[in-house]
Amino acid sequence: MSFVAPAALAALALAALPVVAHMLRRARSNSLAFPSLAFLRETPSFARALTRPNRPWLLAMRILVVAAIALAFARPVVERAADTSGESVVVLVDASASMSRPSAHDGAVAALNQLIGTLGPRDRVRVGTFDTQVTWLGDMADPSTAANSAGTYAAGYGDVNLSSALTAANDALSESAGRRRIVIVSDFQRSNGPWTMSVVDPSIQVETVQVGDSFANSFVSDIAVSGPTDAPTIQCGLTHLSDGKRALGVIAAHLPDAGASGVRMEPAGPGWRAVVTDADGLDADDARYFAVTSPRRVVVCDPAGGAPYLAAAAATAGQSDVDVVSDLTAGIGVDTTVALLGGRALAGAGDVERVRSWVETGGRAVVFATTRVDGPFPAAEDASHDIEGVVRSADPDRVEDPELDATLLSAPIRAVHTVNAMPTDTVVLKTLSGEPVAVRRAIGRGSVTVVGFGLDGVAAPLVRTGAFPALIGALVPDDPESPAVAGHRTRGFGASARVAGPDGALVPTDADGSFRPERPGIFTVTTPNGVRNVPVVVAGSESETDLLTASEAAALARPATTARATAGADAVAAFEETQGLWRLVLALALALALAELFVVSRRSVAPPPSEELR
Amino acid sequence: MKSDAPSPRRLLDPELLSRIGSLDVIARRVVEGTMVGMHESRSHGVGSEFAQYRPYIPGDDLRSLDWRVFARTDRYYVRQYTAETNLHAWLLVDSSASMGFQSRSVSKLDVSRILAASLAYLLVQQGDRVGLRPLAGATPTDVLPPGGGERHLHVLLHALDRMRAAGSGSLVAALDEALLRIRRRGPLFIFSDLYEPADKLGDAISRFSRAGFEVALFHVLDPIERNLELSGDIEFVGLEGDGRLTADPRRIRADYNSRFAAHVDALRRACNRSGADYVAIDTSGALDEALARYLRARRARVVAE
Repeated sequence: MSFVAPAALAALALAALPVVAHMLRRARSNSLAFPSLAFLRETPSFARALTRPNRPWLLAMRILVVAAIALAFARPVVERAADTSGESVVVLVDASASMSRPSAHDGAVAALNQLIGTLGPRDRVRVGTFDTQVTWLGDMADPSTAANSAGTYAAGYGDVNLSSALTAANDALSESAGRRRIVIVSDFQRSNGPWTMSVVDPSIQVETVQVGDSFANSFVSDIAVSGPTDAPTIQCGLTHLSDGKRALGVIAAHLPDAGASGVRMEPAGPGWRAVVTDADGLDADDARYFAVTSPRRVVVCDPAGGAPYLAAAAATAGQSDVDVVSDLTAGIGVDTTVALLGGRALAGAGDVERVRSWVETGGRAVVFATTRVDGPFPAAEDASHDIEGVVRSADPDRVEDPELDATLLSAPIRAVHTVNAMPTDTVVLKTLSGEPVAVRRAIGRGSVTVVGFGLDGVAAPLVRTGAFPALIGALVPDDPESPAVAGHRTRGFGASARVAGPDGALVPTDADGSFRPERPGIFTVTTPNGVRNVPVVVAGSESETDLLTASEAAALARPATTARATAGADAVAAFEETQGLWRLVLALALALALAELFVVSRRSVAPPPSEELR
Repeated sequence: MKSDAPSPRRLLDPELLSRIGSLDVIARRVVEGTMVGMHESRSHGVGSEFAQYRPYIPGDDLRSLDWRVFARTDRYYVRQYTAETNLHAWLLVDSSASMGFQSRSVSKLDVSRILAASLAYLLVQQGDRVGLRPLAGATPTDVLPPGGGERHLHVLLHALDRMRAAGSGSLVAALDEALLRIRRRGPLFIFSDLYEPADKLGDAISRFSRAGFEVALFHVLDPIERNLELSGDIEFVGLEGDGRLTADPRRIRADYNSRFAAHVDALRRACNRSGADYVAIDTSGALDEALARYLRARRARVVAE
């Protein structure tokens, strides 16, 4: 049974009024002339009133009258057997970036299949995925057809806009008859709220299915940047050891329109924001973006073992001009950008001098330091202005200085980056308190940029959304308008520009050479002047790792609250019949109330004779 | 109070009288009397008719020694006489307002009048003299001095018939007043609901006993007064102007019964101490049986003495 106006049930509280009235009446007792009061004791009036109501049958009738009036206004609906016209179901499956983790993805697929399996042949179902917008995997169809279309489900890169998804689902069900239902399959990240169902017709039932295990960390939020060339304005925070095992770098750039990148930021004391990463944190995969973003020839030096991955990543991205080396003995030229993965990249004999000479002739190097950088980098006139670099590592295999490592472990949040910058240095990154983290120093015709990154070679499937390319775009501002944002049109690269997506497929361009990338990744723009890599990020970001609890997710579900829950000709007829019955009940109850009021008013004119003794 | 008071003849219920009439009213004490009756006087030796000789017992009054017998037999004998006299009995009926209470067809005053009339009839039939004195609520003019014969009985029954439950007053004070007014000793039958402190009532009865009266206290109660078998909230209004209070009888019944039983026990003990008879009368019970039971017990006690 449901109620058309359940708020009227609050009037049931008025049923207490007759009880109170009877208790008050109770205070007026029968009178009895008694020989002596010597052996009697007064009974408190309240105790007498509670002991026994006066005229219980009248009290019961009055309570029933009040309850009947309240129920009649609430208009109960007695639901009949399942409608034979079948049910219309819309299944919304979360396809945001967080759903790409295996437990969430597999859970969603299983839930989808199970749900479709429970539907009957007369039911109709439509499956759609949603992040910031809804993508329908098919039309409203029978369950078997819907099952086929559901097989194409895959998580994307964006975050969630549930309201738009619910609106679309509501529209999809607007023409359907019979019972209607929306099922939401999601991991229900807390920050994806507020979870309002107001856009859904009250006659539509809403169910929730929560999938996916909890996870410590995967995504980044609150990234913004004021502009790729406005390096000093880039703010950054401080890394710390997220779990005591992972070597982490320093990064907390605010990059606009950047998506998830495998880190999240937390307050870490006055002036500091900690960037917490885990297995899905910044890693060599991000270095790939750096590599392929640079228009220069890139030599990646990673003596620690990440090279094969980087090479594979570079090859996957179709960047043939990335060289991965284990030392810097290979020749580098002026047009080469060297990505030094870790300070040990300079540990080889003559590496520092080589880099110095190379930079002085116009080379550009970016050092991602995970261990002590044994400077000096190409020194200026005064050694006191050397850049010391960044030290961060808790990985026993990476730590070369046990004493330093112990210090780091005991002080997980720590500014380990000391920059004695020269006036000509450019602070690329700095902490919220203004302390430089990444500094670029022009040396000769070239420059060296030192960034405190940890670059552990751990594959991170979720780090695909371009926050790191955005950062690289800031650090290496070859393309002042990079990165582009998925879903938005890029600048024009010229009428002759040919654009290939991350998968190598050609992307349609407009007459001015602009295009609208639909997904993040590195797009290749080929013009008569050469090949340019355009990083594409997604707008928005996935949230933190905090998920709704199971009970909170279940509480989002909502039953159909109006008579259309039993829609269909028979059900509507039953509804009308029920309402007619309740109108009759209401009339009878009101008539009884008026009758008693009439009797009471007459009694007030002519008081009844005194009660008999017994 | 009941409006249709019983007629004089109706008070003498034939069935009641037929069952009591076979019993003799035997006074426990023989009082001084001027008329010879069937009641045996307690004062052997001071009456007019010689009864017997008996051997002298130390402590006997020396004036009762028969010196002639001593001269003849050289033994001490005491002369004993049996005095034949009539009784001067008094019926003291409480006619205060509380006696008008009734939960059934008869009030406590109705029952008191029946009992008093029955006793009056028996006493007159035996040649005794009976007086009537209302207590607590009546005026002195309602007092009917003791008398005998059918005519007097008729007057007495009419006086009982006119009696109404009204007014209030102290029963103890009324008893003390009666003690001052009644000169001749004799049986004293008191009919009342006895709503006075038991110790004061006991003192009053004791004063009667010490004055030589043989007191029988008829405690007349309605069943409601005994068990408070009422339901619902009730505002109790005192019949003798002692205020009002509201109570749920179910909640106070146990306490009421306990206190009332204590009062009855105190009255019974006070009567025992004074040598008076305590007779509990329930207005719902059989009056003839109660009266017969009392008379049998009284006769047995006198014979035993």
